[in-house]
Amino acid sequence: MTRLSLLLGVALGLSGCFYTDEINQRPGISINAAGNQVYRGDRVKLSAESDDPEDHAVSYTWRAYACTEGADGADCDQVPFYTEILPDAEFDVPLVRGNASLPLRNVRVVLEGKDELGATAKPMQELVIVALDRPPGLDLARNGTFVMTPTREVIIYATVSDFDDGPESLGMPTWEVFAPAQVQYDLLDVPAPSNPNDPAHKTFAKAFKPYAIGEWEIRVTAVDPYDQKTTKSLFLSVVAPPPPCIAQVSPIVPPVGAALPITEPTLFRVPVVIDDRDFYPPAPDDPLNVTKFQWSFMGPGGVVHSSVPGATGNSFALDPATYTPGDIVEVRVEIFDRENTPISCPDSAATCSTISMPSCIQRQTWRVEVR
Amino acid sequence: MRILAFALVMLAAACGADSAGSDDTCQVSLTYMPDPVVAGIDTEVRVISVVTNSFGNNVYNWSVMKSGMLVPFEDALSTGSEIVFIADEVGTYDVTLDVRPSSGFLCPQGRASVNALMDLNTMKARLHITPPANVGAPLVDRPLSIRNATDFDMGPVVLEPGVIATGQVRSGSTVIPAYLQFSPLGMPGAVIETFTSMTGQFSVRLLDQPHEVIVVPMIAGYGPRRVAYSPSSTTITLALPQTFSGVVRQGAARIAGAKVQLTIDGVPSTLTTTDASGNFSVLGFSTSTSTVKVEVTPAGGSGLPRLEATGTLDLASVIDVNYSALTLRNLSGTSVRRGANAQANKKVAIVGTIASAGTITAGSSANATGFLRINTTTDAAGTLPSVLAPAGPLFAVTTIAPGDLAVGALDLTAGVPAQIDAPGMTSFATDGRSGNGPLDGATLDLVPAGALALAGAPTLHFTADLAGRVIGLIPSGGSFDVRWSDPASRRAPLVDRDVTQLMATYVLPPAVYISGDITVTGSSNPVIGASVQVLCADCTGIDKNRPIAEAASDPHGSFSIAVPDPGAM
Repeated sequence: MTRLSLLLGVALGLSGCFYTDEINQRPGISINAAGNQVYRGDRVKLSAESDDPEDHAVSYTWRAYACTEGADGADCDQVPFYTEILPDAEFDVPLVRGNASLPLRNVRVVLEGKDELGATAKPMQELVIVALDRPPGLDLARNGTFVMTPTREVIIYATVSDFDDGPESLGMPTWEVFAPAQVQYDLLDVPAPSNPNDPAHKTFAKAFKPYAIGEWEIRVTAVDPYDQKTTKSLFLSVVAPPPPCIAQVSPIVPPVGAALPITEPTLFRVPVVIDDRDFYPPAPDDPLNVTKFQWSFMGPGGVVHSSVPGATGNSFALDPATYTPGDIVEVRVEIFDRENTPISCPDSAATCSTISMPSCIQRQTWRVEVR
Repeated sequence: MRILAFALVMLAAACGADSAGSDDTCQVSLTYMPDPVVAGIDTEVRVISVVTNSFGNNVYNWSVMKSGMLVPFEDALSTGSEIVFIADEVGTYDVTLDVRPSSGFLCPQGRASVNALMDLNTMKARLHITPPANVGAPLVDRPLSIRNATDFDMGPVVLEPGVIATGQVRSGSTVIPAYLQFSPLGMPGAVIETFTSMTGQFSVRLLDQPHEVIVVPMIAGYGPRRVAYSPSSTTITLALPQTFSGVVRQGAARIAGAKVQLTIDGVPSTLTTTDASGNFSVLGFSTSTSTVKVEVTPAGGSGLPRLEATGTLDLASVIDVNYSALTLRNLSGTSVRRGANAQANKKVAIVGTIASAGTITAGSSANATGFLRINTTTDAAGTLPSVLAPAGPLFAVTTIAPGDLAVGALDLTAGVPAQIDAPGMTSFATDGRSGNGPLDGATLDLVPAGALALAGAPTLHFTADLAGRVIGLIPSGGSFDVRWSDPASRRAPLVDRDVTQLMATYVLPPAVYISGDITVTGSSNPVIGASVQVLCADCTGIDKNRPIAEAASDPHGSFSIAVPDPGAM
């Protein structure tokens, strides 16, 4: 008490000429982040905010460390993968830690601030961003656009990718087939195309052959090394095989009641057949084409058409000189694809459509007058 | 001196030389280019004259003939001293030039023989494209040159949409239901057929250009006729037909019940039947220079062959069809056997060709060929009933069962044999190969020839197995045209004609490829499912319409056809 009284007395005695500077306060800083979860490889944008009591300018230092586990730095790289001294930070989350052997799981972001007088923000700010494993990519496709029919094989392609770990980290995806009923199918591995210019993707292929009509689902699941899964489905409508259709004929078919007069040997022809599988003439790369033609004939005065043995090409020659001028004969062709669907119309029907569709007939008959 | 010069001219002309005359007389020489000339539809031959010592202006009078027919030509120079003509056929074109100088001098006739050679490196063909009906474009038939070892990508093949031609067939006030065949001028293979309604109305899509149309009336009293037609015309007018009359006889014996039909410049007449006196009359249209084909089919049981003759006949005259004095044999009791087995209730076709079976005379005379096709059936004992056939070397084609035919010789020259042999079918095995391997999936068509063709036997169609092999049965004694083709277009089609025994291996020739992309003018959409055929350019009869190779346009409107490499044929 005596000492205090002495000091007060000194101070009072010196009043009017005594001055001292204010003490510089430390700035306060914080990190603005949109969230704390990203996928590896994502771009992260952060910004710093500061609150300096004296409104001094604050400078920042960002450091980001790649970590495996934990947020305290115990399992982080010693050297930051990112440093910056701007108010805003922007970096891509690495896929692996610095030694490339460990996948990155967290990013530890450290922000330090210092005002223009050198006062350091205490404490420095830390943000732990959880780096999630991205699920694998998966795309399904099929070859062709043809109508799926029972026993018709289709190649299904599963193209996988893994942004995090690369496509080589992925094994063969799992394939599941959901049949419309308990019916048989084949699903066999087949060689898949590879694209050396696209190392980021890997394609697997299977040949799928259903044995029944209905809605089929091919479900494929890709799993990465960290058990992240992606599942996609390809739906196939398998329908009854459409019949072949006679698309063109020559010569002209006479209208009902009329007869085509022929005076010289004539080729009756079916130049084009439209079918889902057995188009005719076959394409050069379609050696399996099995379009069948069966020609039949009804001579003068006949009552039924008789198949002509061996006449199974797409043309039939008729020499009118073989008959007596004025004779009426009938030339008939019936077509079959590999399904060999019987043509059940009565013999008296000049045309026949097994699906009752006049635009798609499997039988054509020419009534011919021999001249 | 002029006499001497003329003599020299004649000597030179006889040598096919191109000049005549001596130094002081008028001389005419002809040269031509190109040399040599290779025949083709676009081969233009330019003939150049050099006239010396004519002393004045010249008037040129040219002539180009081939096989006795005038060939059209055009002046290549306004002076008339050079001409051009198209040498589209192989053979010799005889060019003559008569020069009349204003001086009045006589100039010898200039002559040149232009020998148009066959182009061994190019095959002439036709590209026949028939788009689907819903595309809205008529078919086309264009010349196509296939060159040695050269694939030909035609690029865009653009079809014209044409126009819908509608109209009515009439003769005066009478409407005529008819069968119509339209063909555009300059494209005779692009035939478009239609039938009119019962009121003669028609509606058909055609190229917008002049056409010829063959009208075949479907009512009595009108004869078929070829008339000019423009798609803008709404009426096809059919004039009243001419009547052509004749008689069918065999010497003094008149032949009743024979069917008679003429084909006049490719257009059939009506069909008629001779009366009890052998007389007939048909309706048609003719000119004095018409080429006429006469076909006479005698009544069944007569034993006479069908007669065919073609010539330049004067149809204003009575058409006299006179059968030669043929000896007829009765085959009654002749046994038809396969081995020792009599063939009961089997159909037998007696066929054959008789070179001089008769004559047909109308102004001029034409020798008629006889084609014999007599159908009969064996009885329960396997013998033929009473049936007449002309003496001569014939064949019997017996149908043992569907697909089981037998061709047996039947020589009636000296008499009737007691037995006709119906040999069993012959098995064959043949391979279709490329140069270095089997052609699996290749197709083999055996097109009947000779007796089988006369009997109306069908074409046999086979597909090669994975080893390129075809195994089958064919009638013994029959002959065929062998036609291989490869749907996979690895090799070109192969044709081997009149074969009685198939070879063990056929190597299909190398191919060249004709390709293109079909669209229609005014549309960028591809024409899908169009029939594309490569057809023979010079063939006649049924081969005219039998494709050398065919394909259909794919979903991109594209096509590719493998055709024989002319250099490998």
